[in-house]
This record gives sequence, structure tokens and C-alpha cells, in this order.
Amino acid sequence: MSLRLLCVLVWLWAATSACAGVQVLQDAELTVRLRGQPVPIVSTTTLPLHWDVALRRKAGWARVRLRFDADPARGSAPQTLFIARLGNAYRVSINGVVLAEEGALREPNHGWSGKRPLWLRLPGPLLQAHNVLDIDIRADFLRRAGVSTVQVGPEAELRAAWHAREWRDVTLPRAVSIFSLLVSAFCLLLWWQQREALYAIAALWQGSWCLRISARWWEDAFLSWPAWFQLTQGLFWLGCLSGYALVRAVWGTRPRREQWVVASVLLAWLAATWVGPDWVLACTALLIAAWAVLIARLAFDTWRVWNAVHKPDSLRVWMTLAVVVCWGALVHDIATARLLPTQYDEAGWTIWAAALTGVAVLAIVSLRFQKTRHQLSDLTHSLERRVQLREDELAARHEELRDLERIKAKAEERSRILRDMHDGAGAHLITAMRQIEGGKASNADVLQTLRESLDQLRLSVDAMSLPVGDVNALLASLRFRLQPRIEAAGMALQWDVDLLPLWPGCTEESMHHLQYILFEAISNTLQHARARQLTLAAHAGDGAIVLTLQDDGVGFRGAAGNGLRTMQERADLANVQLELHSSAQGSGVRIVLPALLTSGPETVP
Amino acid sequence: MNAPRWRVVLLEDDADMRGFFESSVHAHPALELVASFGMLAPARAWFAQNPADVLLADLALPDGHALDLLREVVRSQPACDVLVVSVFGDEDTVIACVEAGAVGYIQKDATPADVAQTIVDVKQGASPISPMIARKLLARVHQNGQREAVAAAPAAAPHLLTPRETEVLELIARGYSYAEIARLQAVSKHTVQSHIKNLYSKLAVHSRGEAVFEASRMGLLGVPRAAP
Repeated sequence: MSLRLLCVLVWLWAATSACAGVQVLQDAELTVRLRGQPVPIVSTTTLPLHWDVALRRKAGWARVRLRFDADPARGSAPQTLFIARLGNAYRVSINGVVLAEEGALREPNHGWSGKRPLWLRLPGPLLQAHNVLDIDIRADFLRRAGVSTVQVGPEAELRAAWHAREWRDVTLPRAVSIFSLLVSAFCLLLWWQQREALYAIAALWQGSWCLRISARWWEDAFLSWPAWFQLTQGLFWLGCLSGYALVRAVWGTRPRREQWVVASVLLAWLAATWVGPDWVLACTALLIAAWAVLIARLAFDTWRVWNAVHKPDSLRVWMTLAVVVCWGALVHDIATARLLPTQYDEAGWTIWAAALTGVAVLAIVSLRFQKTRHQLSDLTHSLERRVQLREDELAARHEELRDLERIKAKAEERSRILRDMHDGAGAHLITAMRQIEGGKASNADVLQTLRESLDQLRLSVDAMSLPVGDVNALLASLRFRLQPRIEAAGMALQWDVDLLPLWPGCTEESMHHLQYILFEAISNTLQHARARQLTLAAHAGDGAIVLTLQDDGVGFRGAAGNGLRTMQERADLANVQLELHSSAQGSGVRIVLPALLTSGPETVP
Repeated sequence: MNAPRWRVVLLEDDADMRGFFESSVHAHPALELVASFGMLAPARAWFAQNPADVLLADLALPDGHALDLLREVVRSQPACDVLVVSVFGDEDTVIACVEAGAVGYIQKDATPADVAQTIVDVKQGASPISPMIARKLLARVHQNGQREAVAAAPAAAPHLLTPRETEVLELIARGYSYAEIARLQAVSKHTVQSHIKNLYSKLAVHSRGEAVFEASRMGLLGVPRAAP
């Protein structure tokens, strides 16, 4: 793109400098007929004719008559005519023959208005030694009308000049318009997605700029004059207003006084549109002055911030730059359009300013986007930190709870061991002491009591490593521990133990109680039943585990009442059913582990 | 038949208890007490110089824990069986000793005859297995089975037990005696014992601990040390 621009510039330079054999026609007879005045004014003038400067606030028609002689040196080479700009409507004729005509010459305020450079081949037969070139134009009120200098010369020379002018006045401005439109659409899209005022304002600013500069190359306007003028003026003011809104959005806030000034200028302009064009021009001057003050303040502010933090606020720098460039271009263009008579075909700088503001808006939007993204990422990080903090808190709380549970479990374990010692080993030791103190018991009796105490201790130790709910393991350990005593008592043990399912709802506590009940029952049988056979059966079925202990001895006969009561207590604590029965044929204990019964339907996998 | 007498070494810090075990060993004709110690260090020194058939050791001694000596003896004298003396015969102690290479334990309240008989039984190839050890072995077999299922290596399958062996192990864990198991399976008591020997030797060994554990099982089963 930049390479192309460079080529164009070189071309421009070449086109303006290499003009050998080209005649520049400037001295003309001018015939002006103002609207509403039947008598034409005839005078001479030097081109370019800038109607609005020369005939301020007038509308009418003008005929520019130029005379030129054929260049004998060029002979048969095709001659061409180049006029940089003319309008509003025009007709070009040579020696009385019309060569070109655009726009409705007889129809004032017609929509069409010439803005492109005109390049014509002069037919050879028409050219004479002395030629008369007539250019008729129609000029509307306040509209940029006139005739620029006319060049006649060989095609090779003027074609290049025409091309360069076409590029400068039409092709590049169109490209800038499209660029501005795209920037505007992009901002609009961002606003649509994020609903942030800054993007909407940027879109409006660029949009109004785009339409405003389109008027520079748009010949066949869809509105007639002066409606088109009002539209472009409106766009201009809209552009100024949205520009200020963007300044506010970028700065975050502006002094209230400044906003009052802006509102006043706007109101003054609205009023001036009713009063007359000179008032509008005055308002424009006011606007430019206001902008100049604002720019000074913005620039100072930007510089101060830069100085204070040693880092430019990029958004503000870009915005200031854009505003400065626009302001300069506007001042230049208004001056050329309304004040300088020789600058009729000057295309204006606003277009190039628009291109630069487009770049500035893109920069602002992207910086803003970046800022938002950083804020979002900061937010995410802070959120992560907070989540982490909360997680740590939760973990600490969890750890506290676990500690509490551990303490509780320890306390429970302690009370269980105490109870075991109280009911088991402790009770047996006291019995042994009483036996020795009483002096009635034999050594064998005392030894028996002590052995029982040791067995109980071992069972308690075993119980610590029994898997909770594994009744098979409990029974096996019981047998392993008590087998020597059962054998020593001369009793046969019938073992009928199925592979049992896990006892659901079982706790370590209930395992201990069950173990105690069975131990107590076997001990009773060993001590009091005088049995020859003891059967231990364990079966699972109908949703329950049933343990039965049956001997063929003499029954309880009121023996060991204390032990039976403790057994019942333990059964209640373990939530198992305990049934005792005794007869002359022997005694039996039936223990039902009812966890499956109370849990209703089968839930064990 | 004039059978050779088993050389027994005693390690027990309590003098009364040591006296009790000494007299228990003396009383049995098949046993010969070759040394008796109350401390770890002299026992270690003795084992460096002399062979023995049985070591009867209490674990907690004034100059240290006997588990280390136990491992050394199992390693340096494979023919020597180690029996641990325990008050409670609790699961943690028993499993730790078996893993260190002990073949079994004797409770401190055993009668003199029981003490001697247990030693002789072990030397004659008995397989003293308690329900809790059976349960541990079952858990280990189960773990190995899972590991091999994950590795999907069919070559590892021989480490698993046959259904019959697993059944024997489960019955022991449920509290059945060898005689009852034999009756339930309609086989002889010796067949049950051979099942137990098989399942011991089949258990996979990976870690050092397990290697020691298996070595201990070899002793436990009375299988000749040279046999694979």
C-alpha cells in the first residue's frame, strides 16, 4: 500500500513538472448571469474561478471563454484538454461544438455536482489555427462551484496529470471512506458484543467522518441542494460532537464547565442554521476556537500525566493526536473552501485526517481491549487466589474435623478398653484374689480364673485387628484362642461355620460386644454345664446371620446370673437379638445379627 | 531308633521365664539346650560361631529388638528355625515376625510340655498356621491376583492358588481345624497339610520383605532348604 502511495507521489511530481508542449489557459472572458438578474455581467478574469469566493453567496451561470492557438510543432499529434475541476454543472464546447456536458445546466440546485477532473481528446478536425473554448457552468448558492485552470497539450503529457489527479481526488478518498466505514463497523460490532459506550461512540465518530468525507468525491448525490448541504453539515457537527464524547470516554470524566461550553456551541449552531449561512460560518469559527482551547487542555493534560508517571497514557496520546490532526485539517479546508480564491481545485486535508483518525480509533479500541483483557485476567487471578484461600480454609476446617474425630475415636477406644478390662481381665483378677483370700479354692481353680483372664485379654487384643463386620474372622479367632481350654475340659467342639457375608451396620464396638457374648457363653459352658459336646454353628440366610451355641450339659440352673445380665446388656448395645434357653438336654444361645432384618429389602451388594 | 537331638538356643531376658523354658527343653528327650542368653549381643556373637536347629527368642530385650537377629539367623543359618516367645500372640507382632523369618510363636503361658512339643512339631515339618495368618495370606493372594490381572501377564498365573488350596485357606480362616477340613473335603489330614505347604511355596515374592516371608514359610513348612 505504501509502495503504491509512493508511486502516486512520484507520478504527481512527474505530472506537474513534465509539462513540455502544454499550454496553460488562464486568461479568460467571463460572462456571469446571476439568478433573478436578466442582464449578464461581462468581464475578464484569470483562472481559476472560485465562484463562492468571487461571487459570495450568489447563484447563477457563468461562461468562461478561452482562446488558444494550435501548436504548429505538434502537427498531427492528438491534442487533449485537462481541467482539474469544474462545476457544479458544466458544458465544454470548442469552436461552437459541445465536447462534454454533465449535470443539468438549466436546473438550479440539481443533485449532480462535478468533482472529478475532466480529461478530453480534442478531435483533430475541430481544431483550427485559432480556437475558442467555451466553458459554461451553473453555480448554486453556497455550493463549491468554479473552473480551475485549463491545460491543452499532447495526450501523453496530460493523461499522466489527469491520472494523478484522479488518484488524489477520487480513488484514494474512496479508499479512505471504505476504511473509515470498516473501522466504524468494527467498533459497532464490538459495541454489540460488549455494550461498552466507548465503542459505540467510536463507531459514531468514524461513521460520521466516513459519510462526511464521502461528499468530497460523491458527484451524483441522492439529495438536491441545499438538503445535501444540510446533511453534510449535520454530519460534520455530529462528528465534532461524537469526537468530544470520545474524548470524554477516553478521559473518563471532563469538567462540567467544558460540557456547558460544548452544549452552548451546539445550540448556537442549531440557531444559526435558521438565521443564515454567515452565522453558521461564525459558529464554525467558534467551534474551531473551542476545539483549539480543548486541544490545548488535552495536550497539557496528556503531557502532565506523562511527566508525572514517566509513562504515556497511550489512549490519551492517540486521542489527542487524532483531535489535533482533525482540527488542523478542518481549519485548512474551511480556509481553502471559503476564503482563498486560488484554491478552487484543492481537494482538502480532511480526507487524510480521516484516515489517520481511523488508525487512531483502531489503536484506542485495541488498547482498550487490551486493558479490559488485563483487567479480566487480574480478576481471574484474584478469583483464583480467593478460591485457593477458601480451599485452604476448607482444608484446615477438614483437618480440624478429622482431629476431632480422631480424639473422639480415641476416647471411644479408651472407654471400650476400660470396659473390657472392667468386665473381663479386671473381674477375673478380683475373682482370683477372692479365691486366694478365701482359701477355699484350689490352685487349679485360681489357675483357671487367671487363664480365663489371659484369654480375655488376648481376645481383646485380637479384636483390635479384626476386620469390622467379618464375623468369620471373629469366630475363628475365638476358636483359636479357646481351643486349648475346650480340649483341656475334655469337651468336643463341633464347628459348623458357613462363609458368612459381612455384617452390615457393624461397628468395631459391636464386634467387641459380640466377641464378649460368645466368650462369656463358652466360658459358662466350660465352667458350669458339664457338657461333653459343644456345637457352634453360624449360618446366613433370610437376610440375617444366625449364630448358635449348643451344649449337651445340665443347663444354667441359675448359674452365672451376673454374666448373663452383662451378656444381655452387650447384646442390646450391639443391636443383636440374644436368646438363651436351657433344659435338661443342655443349654443354648442363639444370636441373630438383625442388621439385615431392620434394613428392610436386601441392600447388601 | 536313636534320633539326633535338636540343638535349641534360648533368648529371654526374664530370668524366671528363661528358667521355665530351659527346664521345658531339658525335659524333652529330643531337644538339647546348647545356649541360653538374656541379652542380644552375646547371642549374636554366639550365632556367628555356632550352628543351631532352633532359636526360641523373646522380642523385647534390654539391648535391642530381636527382629534383626532373627533375620540374620534366618539368612546365615537356613537350617535353624526361629520361634518367637509372645504373651498375646497378637496379629501385628506375629505377622512382623513371620515376615522376618520366624516359623511360629510360643505363648508365655504354655505348659512345659506344650513348649517342647511345639518345637519338636516344627522340626518334624508341622505347619502351624493360625486363622489370622491364613486371612493375611488370602488377602495377599487376592492382591497378587489383582496385580497380575492388571499386568495381564499369563506367565504370572502359577503364583495363584488352585481352587482347592484357596478353599483350604478359607476354611482355616473360618476357624476349621486340619482334621475338620480333611473330613469336609473327604481327604486325609496329610493331604490338607500338603495343600498348605503348596500354597505357601506358591505365594509370589517380589520385595525383600516378601522374600524373607517366603523363606520363613519354607522353614514353617519344613521343606528342605536346597529344594527350589
